[in-house]
Amino acid sequence: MDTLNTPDKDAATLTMLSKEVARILNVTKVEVDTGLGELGIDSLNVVELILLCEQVYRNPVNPEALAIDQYTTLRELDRQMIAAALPSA
Amino acid sequence: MFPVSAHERIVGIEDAAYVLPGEPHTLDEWLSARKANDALSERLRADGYRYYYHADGLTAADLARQAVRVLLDRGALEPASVGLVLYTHVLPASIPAPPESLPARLAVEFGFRGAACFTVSQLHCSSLIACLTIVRDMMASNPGIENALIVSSDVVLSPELTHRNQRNVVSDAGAVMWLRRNARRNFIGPIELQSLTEFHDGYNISDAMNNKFNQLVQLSTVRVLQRTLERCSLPKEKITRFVPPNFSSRAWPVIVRVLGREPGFVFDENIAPKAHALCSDVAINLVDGGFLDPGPGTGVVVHTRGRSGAYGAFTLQSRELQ
Repeated sequence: MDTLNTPDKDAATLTMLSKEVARILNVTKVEVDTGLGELGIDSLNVVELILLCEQVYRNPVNPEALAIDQYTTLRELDRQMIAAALPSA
Repeated sequence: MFPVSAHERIVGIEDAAYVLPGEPHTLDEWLSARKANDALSERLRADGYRYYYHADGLTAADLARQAVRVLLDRGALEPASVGLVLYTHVLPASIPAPPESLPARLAVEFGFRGAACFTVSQLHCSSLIACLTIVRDMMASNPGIENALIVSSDVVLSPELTHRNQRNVVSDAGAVMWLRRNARRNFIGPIELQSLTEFHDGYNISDAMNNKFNQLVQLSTVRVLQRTLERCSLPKEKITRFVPPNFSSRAWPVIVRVLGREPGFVFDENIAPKAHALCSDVAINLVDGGFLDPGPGTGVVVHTRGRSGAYGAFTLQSRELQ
């Protein structure tokens, strides 16, 4: 993944993220605008989500820079990950 | 990838012993004494707790003394050959007020004449891992130290001292590990220790910080385990068990899954019958699991984590490979 800051790429990463989250939660589909808590992600398995982000966005995740809680949606997480991947000005 | 140096192989755990005082109490007793609400009760049951131990008037010093007595009564360790005694604990009331020294007092009582004696704490349960590092470094730099003891003990003085945010059932316990230069059965491989210092306030943190802690706790465990296993001289499949602290049985299957291992990889058999004995969990689990005697060419990886943000791990490996 060369660049992440175009609308198409944004949609692609969100789609990929939602598919992978569905896989680790062992469900067929997850809603990208539903909070993580409601999806079934909590403090025990959020590690799988963070490690998943490293694969989807292909950059090391600084988890301390992320703001994740039970109400964070995959769309918001995708936005955070893309912002984190942008080269600094 | 960093190879394990000869320096890292010199120390093993020759033996270990522990005491859990009296008869086990039930989880219901714990919940009742603390007037726990339904949510906490449900959570602790889901985490696997069923019994715990209470010292009932005995002090941490008493339990430490009892554990050392059990070890010495086996007759294998000559007290005068002990060159180093480290005491470690989590709770503030588990150590006498300065200038009294509990490890020095144990040295006098049991005949560890001339041993260097001091206490390691403030890393909570991971203080035990810090002790291992100190023992190994001191043995490496001082050829005169052949044997060292790491003594751990904690006593919860009163149910009222259980913090409202505490999510663990704690057992009172005392334990001792005898570390020996070129121990017969095993050696300690790579040791990793990491602190997320922003969590220095332990349970006394804001909701936002607590959320950040929850976000990082499992990831920090994975990271410290991965670093330890990367530095281990054994192939991954030769590490046969993962030995975490005796709490939160729901946490470990996720860690095992992330590490790509089968559910049976985790040793969680002591959560229900013994609960979390803080720094003493390591000795308790190594003894009960038979892990002081790893099978030929194998090892186990031991993990500790502390609420103040300290994460540690080490491998204990069969001596045959040396």
